Amino acid sequence: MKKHYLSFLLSSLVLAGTTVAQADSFKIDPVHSAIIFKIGHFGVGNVYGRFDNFSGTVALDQSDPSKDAVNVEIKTDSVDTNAPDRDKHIKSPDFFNAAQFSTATFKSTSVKKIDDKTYEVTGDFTLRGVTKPLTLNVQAVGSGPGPKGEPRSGWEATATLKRSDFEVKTFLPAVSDEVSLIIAVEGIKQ
Amino acid sequence: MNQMVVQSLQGVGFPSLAVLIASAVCFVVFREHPWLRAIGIGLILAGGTIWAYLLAFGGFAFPPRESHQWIPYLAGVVALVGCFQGLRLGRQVTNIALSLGMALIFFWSQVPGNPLALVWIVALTIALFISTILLQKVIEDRCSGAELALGLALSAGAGGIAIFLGGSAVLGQISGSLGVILGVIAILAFFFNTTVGAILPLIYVFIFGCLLLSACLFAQLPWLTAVLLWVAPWALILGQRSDHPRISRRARALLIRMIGVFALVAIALGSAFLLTPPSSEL
Repeated sequence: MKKHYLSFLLSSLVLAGTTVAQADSFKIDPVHSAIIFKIGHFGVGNVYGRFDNFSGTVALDQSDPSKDAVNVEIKTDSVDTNAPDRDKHIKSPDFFNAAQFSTATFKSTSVKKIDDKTYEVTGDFTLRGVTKPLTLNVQAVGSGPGPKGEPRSGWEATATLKRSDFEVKTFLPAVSDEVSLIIAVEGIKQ
Repeated sequence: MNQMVVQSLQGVGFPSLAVLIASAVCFVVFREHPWLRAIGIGLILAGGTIWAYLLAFGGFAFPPRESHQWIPYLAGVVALVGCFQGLRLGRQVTNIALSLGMALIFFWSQVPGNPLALVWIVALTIALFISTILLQKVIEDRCSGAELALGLALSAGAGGIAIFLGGSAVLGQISGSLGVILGVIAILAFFFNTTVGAILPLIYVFIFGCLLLSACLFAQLPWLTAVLLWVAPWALILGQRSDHPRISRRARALLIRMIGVFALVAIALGSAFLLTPPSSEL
């Protein structure tokens, strides 16, 4: 009997260990997520816009942070600045050339944990066919069950990039080179 | 004044002014040497186009990934081909090679996933080749240098407005620059009463063609507008060329010959305004 208890205890520990070692994979929930950008206009104000269509995954491995990964894909023709004429222009070859380059992507190459709530995610950002490194400063917002009891986690990332690095130079410097990004996502655990 | 408007005006004005000065020198120096003049004008036009592109997009992309990024390279190749064609060397061979090259720029990347793109490559090659022959053989032979240059200038200049309405201010700016540059050549060819060379049709077909196709495929220039602009210079087939020594006679003949081009350009712009209303985004 003692032997049975021991083997049960051992197998439970092994199983528990497996659960901890497994990577948690989250699929971005677009309904509760947003990708927002800010760009300077004539040095007197800022214009905000967002992307309405994007998807992605977040993988977190508690036991091996080197396996953490963030992948985001943004549909460039879903840009929305609350001005349809401007959106049409942004989709044109002057900016995104959305007909030829329908997606912008971010693929992480390293995730560095700063503290329990803060991460530095470095990766390759591809816009208009040009790939450059980009670092996201990520804050963990929270974790818990969603409305249907499904496990969820939320993060908010900020980053700054220079659009000229991606050969998007139209109207420089009247429309600023520097673009600020906010990526606020909720992920549903898979 | 709006900083963007100033940038656009500079983008059109600087290359055009440079072309005006350099071409005037070329017309004077090579007045008695038509083929040297043609080579000079070819190189000046290519230089003006490349500068206009540089001012519009802020730099070159190498290797080019987008159709419009080929424009500066196309301008260089077209200038060299124009020089050879001025000597009547391998016209049709180079024309078909350029036509095929441009078709590949637009459709080659689609071939692996879409074999139908091969049909588009063949169709575009044929369309560009026929356009080049028509402009070079039929229209060039029936037009004075000024008439041909002005016809092409009107179409390219109006193309600038149409492409702007179609959603691309930068491609529109380059087309506008091309129109003004060709207009400058038209003025000089008119006063010097001389021909310009094979380069003009090549610049029109391959540079303006690249702009129109890019604007249709990647911005929202209506196809109807693009086709009307493309065929507008064909109206020069009507009427008689005038190389009359008297300026007033030449001017009158020039205006008469432009009527058909004006009409087609006006219809094209009308279609652009109707199909893509002016934007207020800036």
